[in-house]
Amino acid sequence: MSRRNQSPPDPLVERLAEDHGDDLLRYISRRVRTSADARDIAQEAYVRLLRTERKDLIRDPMPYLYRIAANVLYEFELRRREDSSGLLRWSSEYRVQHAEAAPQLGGDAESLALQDRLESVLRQLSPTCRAVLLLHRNEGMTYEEISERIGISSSMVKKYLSQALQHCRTHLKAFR
Amino acid sequence: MEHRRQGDEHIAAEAAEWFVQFRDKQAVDPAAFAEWLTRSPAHVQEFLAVSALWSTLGVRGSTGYAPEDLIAAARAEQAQRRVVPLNAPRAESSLGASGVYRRRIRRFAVGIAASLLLGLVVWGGIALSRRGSEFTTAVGEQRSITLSDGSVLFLNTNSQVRVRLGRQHRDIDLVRGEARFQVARNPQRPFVVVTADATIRALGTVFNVAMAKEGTQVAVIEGRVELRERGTSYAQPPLSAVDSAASNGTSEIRKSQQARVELAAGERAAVTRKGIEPDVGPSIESVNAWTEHRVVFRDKTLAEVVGEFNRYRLQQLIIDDPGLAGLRISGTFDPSDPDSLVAYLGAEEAVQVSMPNDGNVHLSRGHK
Repeated sequence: MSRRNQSPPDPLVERLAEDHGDDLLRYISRRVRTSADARDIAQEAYVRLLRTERKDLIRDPMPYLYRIAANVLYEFELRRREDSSGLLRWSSEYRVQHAEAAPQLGGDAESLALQDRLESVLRQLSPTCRAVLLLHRNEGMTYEEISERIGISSSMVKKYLSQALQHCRTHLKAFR
Repeated sequence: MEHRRQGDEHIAAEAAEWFVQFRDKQAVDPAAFAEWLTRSPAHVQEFLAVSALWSTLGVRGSTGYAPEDLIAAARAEQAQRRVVPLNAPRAESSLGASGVYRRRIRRFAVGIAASLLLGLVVWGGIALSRRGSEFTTAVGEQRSITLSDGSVLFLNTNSQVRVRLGRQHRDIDLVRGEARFQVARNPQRPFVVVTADATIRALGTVFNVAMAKEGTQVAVIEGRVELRERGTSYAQPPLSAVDSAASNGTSEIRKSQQARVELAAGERAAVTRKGIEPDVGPSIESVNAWTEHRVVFRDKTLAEVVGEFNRYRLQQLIIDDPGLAGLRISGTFDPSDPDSLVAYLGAEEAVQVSMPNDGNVHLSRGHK
């Protein structure tokens, strides 16, 4: 535990962070979803956030948070594998392959169940919430474009979007 | 755990709001966000959770929802929120001082003439290029509007439309009343009309849409349109509609098939609570007539005729005697001249016309 701060940056995390913020987020989200200790990860990330220089954090807070979270995840997994097998080298290789497959949802039972659950949560949304969420997320439409097409203000678009996200979050939480 | 949950919900809501702000590039104050994020581990957790959700939503692949359907459904929901009561309050009418009005109403023809103030037919073509325009007609008023794409919109009495023309779309919300659309052909810009009940999509065509109590009535004069029931086919992904049809038997299958129909010239259909019903609604003849200032009745009951006429008048015709409602009449009337019907009815032996002080015209069985 004491080496937490000096832990070497995970080469995979570094690479993902350099390439795309999205890949990094995907990496985190898969692990946050599958790991039972999402709370412990958040707790540890929180502690590290408090320790960081404020100006580093506010330069670009979202990627900064993701990078911290990814590093915490990496160490958690590392420790778990060390505990169970001690085969650091193997686990590291395994993780690289695994992470590269991660961006696509696999056909495993867990992913399928999640997908089902998502479909039903989307169906529960009001038509406007659903439209705003999917047009922005899947069609890449900006708030302005959505505002124009649906005939509501941009600030209403944001309101509907956060409502939609919150609904999905609440109902998927019960699933976990 | 239980007492924690409420606080978490609140933090989850804030996390979603922050996340949404981040998607709007210039909207975030990073220092304020850093302050929020470092309030507690729960804040970090919820922000990571909403981020993870975002990522999960993106890798789901095809959702089964077409963007145009999503937009149409959202617009329909918004249009319904904005619907206002059908009849404008009398206080807002331009009938003038009520004392003068009351005295005049005792006199048959002059009383009717007062409503001509509102019965004025405005029939000017107005060229428009603005976006998000709204057009309204008062009771008894009709107007035609030429849109910037060359389409012409005829608005009947007591109606309201909202028009948004974009590079890739032409979106019309019929908020209330009736309108006829003469659509300039342009396959790159679908022309979509949305009402509380239905979505109507056209390329180049002329069609009429009327919102009635029972639902939305569509009649096609030229070309073809696609008519959809609002909130069926696009409220659920196509797959699940098929699933439920398969498990619930044939009537469900028919219903899901009827959620979308194509209408050719001369065809009509209505979208009601029961779904899409073919051959329901005003005839093509009468739909054509209203844009020519005519109202056509062929062997209609007095109740139907009165109902149609009342759309054009603040002063209502009221059938006092239920035995009279089924009386059948035929004729062509000019809605801008409302007393033509009253004069016609006054000549009928079976009908007695009276005008008490309530400002309406009452019809009862004749004692001649």
